[in-house]
Amino acid sequence: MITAGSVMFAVVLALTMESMNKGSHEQMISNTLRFGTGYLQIQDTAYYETPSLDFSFDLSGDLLQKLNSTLGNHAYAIPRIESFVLAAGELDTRGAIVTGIIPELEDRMNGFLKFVSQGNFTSLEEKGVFIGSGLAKRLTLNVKDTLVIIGQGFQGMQAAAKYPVLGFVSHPMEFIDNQMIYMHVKEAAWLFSLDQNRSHWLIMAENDKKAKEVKREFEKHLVGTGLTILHWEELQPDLVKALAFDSASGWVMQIILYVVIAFGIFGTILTMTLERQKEFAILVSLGMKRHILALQCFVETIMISFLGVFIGLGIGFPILLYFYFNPIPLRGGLSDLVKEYGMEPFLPFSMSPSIFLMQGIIMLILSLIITAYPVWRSFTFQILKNLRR
Amino acid sequence: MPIIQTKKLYKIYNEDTIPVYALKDLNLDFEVGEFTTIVGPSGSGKTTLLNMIGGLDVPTRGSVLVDGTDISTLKKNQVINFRLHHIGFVFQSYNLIPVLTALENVSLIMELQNREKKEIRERAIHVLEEVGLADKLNSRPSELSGGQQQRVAVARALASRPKYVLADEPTANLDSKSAMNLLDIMARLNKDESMTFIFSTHDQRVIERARRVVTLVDGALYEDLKKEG
Ligand SMILES: Nc1ncnc2c1ncn2[C@@H]1O[C@H](COP(=O)(O)OP(=O)(O)OP(=O)(O)O)[C@@H](O)[C@H]1O
Ligand SMILES: [Mg+2]
Repeated sequence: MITAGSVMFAVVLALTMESMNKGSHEQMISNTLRFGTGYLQIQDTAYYETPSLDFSFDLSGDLLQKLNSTLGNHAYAIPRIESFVLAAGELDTRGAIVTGIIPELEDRMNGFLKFVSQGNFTSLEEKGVFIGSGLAKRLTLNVKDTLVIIGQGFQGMQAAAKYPVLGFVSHPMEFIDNQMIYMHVKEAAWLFSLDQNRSHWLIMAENDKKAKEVKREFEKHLVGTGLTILHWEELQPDLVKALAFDSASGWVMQIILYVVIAFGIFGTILTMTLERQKEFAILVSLGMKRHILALQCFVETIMISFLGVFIGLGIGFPILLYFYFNPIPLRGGLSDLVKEYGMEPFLPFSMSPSIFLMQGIIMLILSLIITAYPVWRSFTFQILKNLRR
Repeated sequence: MPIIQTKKLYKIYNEDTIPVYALKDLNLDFEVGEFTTIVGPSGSGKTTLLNMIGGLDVPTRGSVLVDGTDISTLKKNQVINFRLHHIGFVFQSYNLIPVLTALENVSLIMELQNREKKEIRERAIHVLEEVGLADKLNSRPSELSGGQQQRVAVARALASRPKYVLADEPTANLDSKSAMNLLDIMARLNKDESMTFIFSTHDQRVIERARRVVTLVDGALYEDLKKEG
């Protein structure tokens, strides 16, 4: 019973750890996808190295049709214009990023409306901008004030205009809050003299698998066009590396946890086996064969472990479910740190079924290994010595 | 032919430091149907000899033959199987399984022999009744007195009707009435079912009822007395 309990506890602990680890990764990826790169991007082949508007392109006609048929119902494409500019209020000037968006698509992609803290987002159809609340503070701008944008348009054209501030966007990701200027993509095209050109297209898909299929399919059509389609892992190699490193250190932690757990369980099995040595000795002295005794020990330990694993998974599931829907808020320094990395200040949990499967399997393998002890013991203990105990 | 023989049997503890000769050059023959007691002062080697015959212990030198076969040449499982099917063992310290009831303890050997459930239960209850524990079927060893535990141990050994019963001081903790009662049962089984009994004792009244008395002193044979009739 103690063994089952410790297995159970171990499973819950390992589950929680893995869920948090995986949860934060999933969130990082999801944030990056939804507020940054999208699953895929169609770009000019030179754009990745030199993200200049000079490498913008016009995706229309035949190619757009092919794209749409490739995407089907499982994915959709979003044209984007992005460029660095200088943004000025009455007193101050700051570097900022103009992002040309289509409001409905933006909301579909990342629930953008939730982050609009002032103003009516649908009014973005008109001439005007929504800006990050951090940027607004720096430029001491209020709604209805005028923002001046100075930048460089297509092929060195001057890009300068005044825009009324229609509203604010408050986002926990700092680069959005402090740098972003959102306007309609058509407005951005006008501002930067791009006409039908867009700096890149994002593609959102139901999941990563679908996205990869889209990439494989659509790649064929891009041969010879000077365009390319990139997966988010290619767009964010640093993130991929960071996640891999974090996973690795997560694994080290997990292994340490498992070693501790394994010793804990081994301890209980050890005591249990030693306590029952005399009983074993009696059984063998009365005529029970050692391999039958061993089999009995094996079955017993495995049953106990199974029990522990299943109860552990059973208990772990609602706990994780709770934290999945009510993530633990971070406070103080940690919260700032997390925000700096562009994440929301919550400790996210993952509910990926693979976690439950993996932890369950690992624990069962561990208990299988541990079972070796009582089995070995059944074959080797000395009868008389243990009868005398 | 003797059913059990010991040949130049030695058991020496701590041979390389201060040797203790638990058994010294024992040459004994036991025939089918014997009713033999092994006596001798404490530490004279009675328990060691019984363990040796039962295959629970291995000789330092010499051999134990059962049906002419040296048991040291048998595989471990064969020895265990032999114990299971032919030997009833009563330990000096009872060795009941604490988590099992009296009934379960007595049934254990028959269960290991894969006998039929109903038969096991009937037989176990019958033997427990014979040793006077009809009302203790479902008690665990911890709920029984020393004497009662001893009787459960005897019942366990007899229940499967083994050919040989090796009993280490089976009456040590019994009052004289229970002791004589137990000896009556043993004598009857010996006569009716020609079970062979080899048991150690300190008890003079028990010695009187044995037909052969083997006396050990310091592990060596001191006297081997066979009574006629
Ligand atoms: N494991 C052991 N290690 C060392 N010496 C042992 C061991 N077992 C028994 N002996 C010694 O062997 C001798 C015989 O012991 P044994 O138990 O056979 O005596 P016994 O005749 O059964 O005594 P008792 O009447 O007290 O039960 C004793 O001197 C004992 O100390
Ligand atoms: Mg003894």
